Amino acid sequence: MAPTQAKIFRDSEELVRAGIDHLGRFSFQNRANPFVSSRAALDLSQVRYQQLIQLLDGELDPRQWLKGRGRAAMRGIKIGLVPRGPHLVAEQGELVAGVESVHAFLQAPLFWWLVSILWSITMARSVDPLLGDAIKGYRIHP
Amino acid sequence: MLSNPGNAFRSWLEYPGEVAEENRGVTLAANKVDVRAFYYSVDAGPRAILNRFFASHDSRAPQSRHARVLTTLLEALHGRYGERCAEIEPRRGDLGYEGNMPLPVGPPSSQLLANMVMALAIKEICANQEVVGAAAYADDVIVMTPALPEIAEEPADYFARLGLCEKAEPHSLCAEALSGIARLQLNLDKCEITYSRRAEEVEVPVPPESGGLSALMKEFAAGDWDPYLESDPEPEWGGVPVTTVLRSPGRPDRVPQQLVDEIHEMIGEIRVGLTPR
Repeated sequence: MAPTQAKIFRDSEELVRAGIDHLGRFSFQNRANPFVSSRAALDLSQVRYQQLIQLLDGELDPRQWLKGRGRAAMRGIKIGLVPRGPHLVAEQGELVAGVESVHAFLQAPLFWWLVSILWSITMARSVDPLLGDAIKGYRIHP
Repeated sequence: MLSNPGNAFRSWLEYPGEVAEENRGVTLAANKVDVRAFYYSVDAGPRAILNRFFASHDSRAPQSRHARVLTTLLEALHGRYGERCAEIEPRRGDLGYEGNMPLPVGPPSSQLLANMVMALAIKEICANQEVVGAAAYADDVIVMTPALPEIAEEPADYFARLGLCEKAEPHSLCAEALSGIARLQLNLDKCEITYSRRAEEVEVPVPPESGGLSALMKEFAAGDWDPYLESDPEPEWGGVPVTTVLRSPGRPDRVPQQLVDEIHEMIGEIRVGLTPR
């Protein structure tokens, strides 16, 4: 399989706009996951947007940013939980929903979902041709 | 960005048939191998996975500024997610090996990273002389082997004999390429073994002009006659592949699988169990 040419974005703003578009589609496709479907509807704050552009443009050092202004963004990274295989059980004669375990998902501000999307956009066209035909799922469009 | 998951999953399910087609006359075991809590079994962050994956292809991970910045941010995301997982233990009691840097569940980058990890494993599995092919859909793997399980052979013994996993618990997948990246363990309760075989092609003598199965098939191919089709929706006879709909409202199980398989071999697509308009 011939390597696919990576799309060249004119600048970081164009890349982020593409990321937001992708996130809209991704959240629709994954609407069963409440922690992503609700994210796409939210706006990225102007402050975070500017910081993301500055990071991508190299005006902010990502390691320094993570220790400083990015710490608040890091605190927003949480685990969202959904009951896994709930059962109807009786407890002292009352019917209750019994849950033995949970599904865990990333629950994070829009900024981090964008990071994931933008990383995928940036890397996927280099990675995908090397995966070979044996990897069937989650391939990028030809 | 990502292609249709439904088509990809179907392609994965059809993989044993493809391999059987290439190995006509051979009965193959299609070993569906389940990896226990795959996302939680990962030990390395995105940078290490990228580096290992590209190194396996004698190449380097992309080094553009965007690539470097985003990898650093994603690395931080994974680190924080791992800390949260350690606090909450969402899969306590259900996990096998728990890695230091689990893949976050949900974001698309994890799917890409999972593919890289599985590609490393698949490459090694395919190098095994007992294996004629392997394919992965996310963390589910089908491994095709001409060696079949012996009567009364336990799955762990069989998979160990094939060199796929360690015989002793926790039945770790044999994949040196993943050393330091992930420690994958098989969930034998969820592993399945099915069988796939295609008959060797036999030259069929051409029968007389009229009658016979061959003539019937010619008519079928020409679109003049189809015992399975109803008038709605209109079949697309003009192009390839032909689409046929088997009507069995709400009860796809009422259509015999053998019939589905036969028709599937003749046409490109088949849909079963549609409710009539």
